[in-house]
Amino acid sequence: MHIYINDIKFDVNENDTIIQVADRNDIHIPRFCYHKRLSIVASCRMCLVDIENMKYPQPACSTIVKEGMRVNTNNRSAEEAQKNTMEFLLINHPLDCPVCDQAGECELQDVSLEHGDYKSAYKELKRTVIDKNIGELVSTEMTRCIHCSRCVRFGEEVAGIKELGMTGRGEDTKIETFINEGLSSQLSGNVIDLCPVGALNNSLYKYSARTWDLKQMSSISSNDCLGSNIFYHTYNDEIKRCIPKEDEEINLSWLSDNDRFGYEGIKSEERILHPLIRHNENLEKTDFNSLSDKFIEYLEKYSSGSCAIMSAQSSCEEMFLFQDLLRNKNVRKIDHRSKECDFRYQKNFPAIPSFDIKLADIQSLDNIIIVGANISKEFPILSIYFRDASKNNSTNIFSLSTYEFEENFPLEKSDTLNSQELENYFTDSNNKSNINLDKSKKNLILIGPAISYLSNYSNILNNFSEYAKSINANFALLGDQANTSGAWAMGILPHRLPGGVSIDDHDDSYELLSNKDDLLILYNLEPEYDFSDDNRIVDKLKESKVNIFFSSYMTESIKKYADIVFPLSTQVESSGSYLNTNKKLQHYNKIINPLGDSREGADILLGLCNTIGKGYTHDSIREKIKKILAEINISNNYVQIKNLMKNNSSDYLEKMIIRNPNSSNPTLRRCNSIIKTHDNDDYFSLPSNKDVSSDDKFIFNEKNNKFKLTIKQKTHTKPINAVLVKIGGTHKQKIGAYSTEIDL
Amino acid sequence: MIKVCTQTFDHKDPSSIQTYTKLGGYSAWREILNQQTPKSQVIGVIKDSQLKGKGGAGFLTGLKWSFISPNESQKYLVCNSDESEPGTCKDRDILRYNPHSVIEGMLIACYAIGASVGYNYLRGEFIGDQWKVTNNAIKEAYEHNFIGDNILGSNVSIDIIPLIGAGAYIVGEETAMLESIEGKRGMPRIKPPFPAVQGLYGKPTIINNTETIASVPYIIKNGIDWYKNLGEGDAHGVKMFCMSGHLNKPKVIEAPLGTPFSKLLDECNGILNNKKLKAVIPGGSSVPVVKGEVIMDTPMDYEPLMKIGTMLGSGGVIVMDETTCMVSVLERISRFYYAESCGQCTPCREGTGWLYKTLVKIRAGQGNQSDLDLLNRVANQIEGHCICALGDAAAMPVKSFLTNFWDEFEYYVEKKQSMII
Repeated sequence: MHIYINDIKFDVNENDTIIQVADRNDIHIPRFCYHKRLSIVASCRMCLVDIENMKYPQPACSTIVKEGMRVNTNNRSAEEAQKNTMEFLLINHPLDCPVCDQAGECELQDVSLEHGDYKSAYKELKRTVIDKNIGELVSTEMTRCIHCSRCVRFGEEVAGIKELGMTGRGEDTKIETFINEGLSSQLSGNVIDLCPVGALNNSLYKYSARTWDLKQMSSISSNDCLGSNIFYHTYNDEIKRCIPKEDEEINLSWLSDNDRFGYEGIKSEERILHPLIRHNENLEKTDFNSLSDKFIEYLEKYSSGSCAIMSAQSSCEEMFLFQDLLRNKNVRKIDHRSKECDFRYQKNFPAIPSFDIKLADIQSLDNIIIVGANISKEFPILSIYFRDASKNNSTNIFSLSTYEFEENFPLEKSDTLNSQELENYFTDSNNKSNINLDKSKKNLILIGPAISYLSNYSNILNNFSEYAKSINANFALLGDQANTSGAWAMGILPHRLPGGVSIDDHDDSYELLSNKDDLLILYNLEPEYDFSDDNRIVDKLKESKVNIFFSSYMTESIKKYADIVFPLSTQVESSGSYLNTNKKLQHYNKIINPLGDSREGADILLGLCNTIGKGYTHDSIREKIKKILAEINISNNYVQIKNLMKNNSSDYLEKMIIRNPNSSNPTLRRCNSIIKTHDNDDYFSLPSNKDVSSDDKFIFNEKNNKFKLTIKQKTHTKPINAVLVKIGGTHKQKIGAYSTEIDL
Repeated sequence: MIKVCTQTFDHKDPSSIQTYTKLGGYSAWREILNQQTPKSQVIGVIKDSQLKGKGGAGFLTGLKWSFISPNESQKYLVCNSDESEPGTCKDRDILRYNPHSVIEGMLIACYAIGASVGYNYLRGEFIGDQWKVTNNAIKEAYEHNFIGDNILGSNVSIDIIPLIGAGAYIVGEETAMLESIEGKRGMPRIKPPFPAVQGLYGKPTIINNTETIASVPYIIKNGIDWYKNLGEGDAHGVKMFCMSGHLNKPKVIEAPLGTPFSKLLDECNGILNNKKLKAVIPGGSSVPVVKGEVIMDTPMDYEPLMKIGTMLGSGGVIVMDETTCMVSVLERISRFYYAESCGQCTPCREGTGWLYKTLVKIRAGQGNQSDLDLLNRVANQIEGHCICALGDAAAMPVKSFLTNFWDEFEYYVEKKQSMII
């Protein structure tokens, strides 16, 4: 089939629209409401083109091609129509380009220049619209709105939550929130990119730079294990904003709010700007050389009596160098799983835990069981694929979790269970699961990172693996952090070297935080947030003789317990690479220079390695990583453990069972606009190792406020272990089996 | 005069099922169920009777029905009772005085197209009488098992559901009505796909005007020839004309299509106070205006009105005498379209406001010659460039008023006052 555009013949597919053909062949047709990933409304009438034998020009976005159709995008009729639409659009659009952030990248400006007239016959008054506050992230100037409705369609079709809508009619049509509340979707920032004019703006960027002064640099997001592709825009060595980089494999045209606004934390007052060493009671400034010498000295002194825990937020380069340095000094206890407490699974774990299905292929699945993950909150980009799959196809999605939440895609079934019930979901004959999946269908079982925090993690892995095998399901493990897959591949583990090579004499009864160590090294970890048991880590800091921190931010416990502090630069101030959950190695470059005297972790570690005579360079490390990944023996993700005992530590209450995606890394924790946006969701946990009875009351100390939790009613013997508290007044919230009331 | 849709109007208790059945109501429906008339035959009868849509477009009803996709199992019928066109008030009376003809028509239409559900969408302002009467009539019909499961012992099951709008003119546009029924904002959809292929909830849907639906039972009962011969001259069938404006006795008249305008005028006892006829809008405010002398002897039918540059439209005949200031009439009409534009597509959203504001300026004595050209230009920029016909409806009056009464507009911008004192 073929059509002619401007007298040039093009091959087309049956259901193509004119605009699709034109876009493929670089023929420019102006448009506002059309977006390739949104539905077609043909409402802006900007893309009107002339079609032979048609009385009036037709919209190119909604007109389907016909054999032999002759389209003209730039003859008199088409140009006239485009000019007229442009004139209409400018009737009510304020000409405030000099003070508008969109100026320079404004679609209206561009199209007006190309297709509009230089003067307007319109002499009447222009419309003004009063702005509503729609939250911390997106600022509005709705007088500029041209009603293309991309933002509305994005909410309905992609984000799955209709927060913005049209109210009023005719000239009084407004885009606004239906209720006076800020946007809450984790994808809300995308409306900023979608808005063709300066109506929806980036709050952080507002009035801080002009678009034509910005420098664009590509990078990889550090906020989840998908590794979205992004562009940072900088001016004078300062990040001004972040936008998505088109990527058909991962984030398409979208970005989660955490990725878009997460860089805000790099300018926190808590940044550590100098190398620090403890003198008497205080941490004092020093230089890198003396710090390095001291560090090597400690390493040599305590060697096997050391424990080194590294964040899975670190790059593969940092990881390789870190374990290489420590293993050279006979440190055996190396780990990245600071939030986990059950390690019995580790020998049977895959070399690289991953999500082995291409995101675009999620559509082809028949059934998906999500275990312990609130996809729309924790992995917003993944939720777009899930939503597509359930919307367009017959993919059934089931969700099993330890707490209640909402998803932005339809769930076939969702169950809230405690960790024991979850463990036995498919094994206990008394517990009818009601999920019967057909072996011949394409099934997927997806284990969320929050499950790894549970004390029966191994049992859950084992049981779900067994079930997955029985129904021929793909078994996928979502990483807790940006580089969790990388941490496994690079051997940030007590029992494996880089490349998943096992260390034979490793002790089976491994516990990360249990034994006393002389030297404790924490790399990019904050004791307040990053550990399964924050009492235990504080004890450990107290017990050990020397504590060495590599950190970007100062916290209370670092101030109190650190002997040496290496100031790390943040991810945007460093180069490195992440191995994402699809096992795709993605490299990112330094966007801005590190603040103060802070240094890239890879630089510090490389220096340390070379002081012990390694002779590495950044290039050689990169090559090494590539080689390790190429040689790694990849198997499926099934985790089957022989002779696994049931974990009988019953009646326990654990910490951090609800995974707060807005606090997953140190920089994000300090991003004020994200914190404010999700202010109402505060995450608390019950104290550990305590039996709960129906009349127990718990007092929480959080930010100097006291919270009292009363368990009103007891219906089960085992409680679910966490609670999501909304601040402000007394709330009733179902915590698994319990109904609780929280007085604030 | 002949009575089709108005048959019950003069009877006592016109809206009751007793009155309707006494006049032979529901016999067509009974007959179809008893005979198990093939669907194609029902559609054939309507097609051959030349019944045309009475809502404005005048499309052949039977032809429209035959477009419905036969493959889908779920189909819908929607009766468009969102009668909002200025000057039109015929459906209002049908719903008030002859609701059962609408119900029977809907049942026959549902049967013919294979729909199991029919919606009757009433305009928001019908919340008074019409809404109550419609609901009551549907209740009665359910009680008599004309609607419901296994109707009158047959294997046909049809539900009729009444709905009421919230007062938006645009919902009278068929696809906007579908959006509204689905619970969305009433905004027209882009066509294609046409509702007969993908309509309500994505299923094939037929949308017909109330008067069209109400005519159906009578045609089935009395036959093709009866209906065709009702027309005068070359015309077929009847039409309800809503005579309003400067008349001694404004009223709704059911008259044969092809009746000369002068005859309709006589029915209304002539022009108010025996003044001279100046202009007529023969089919609701969106059709072009024509001068009085031009329309006087024109048969009121689709083609003859086309010939004199206007349309039969919805049958809302607005009569204006010599004391009418055409500038202020146009300003009022433009205000209506400005207020009722849904705001979806640019030319209509921005253009209707521009037209209205310019006319306000002219009326305030601040216009000039170039504003008249501007009105014409803006109307041309809107016409044919929008998703639905509301843009055209806003543009056509402007263009026709300017063409027919240019001198009056010119006088206004020059002298800063109306020609009519």
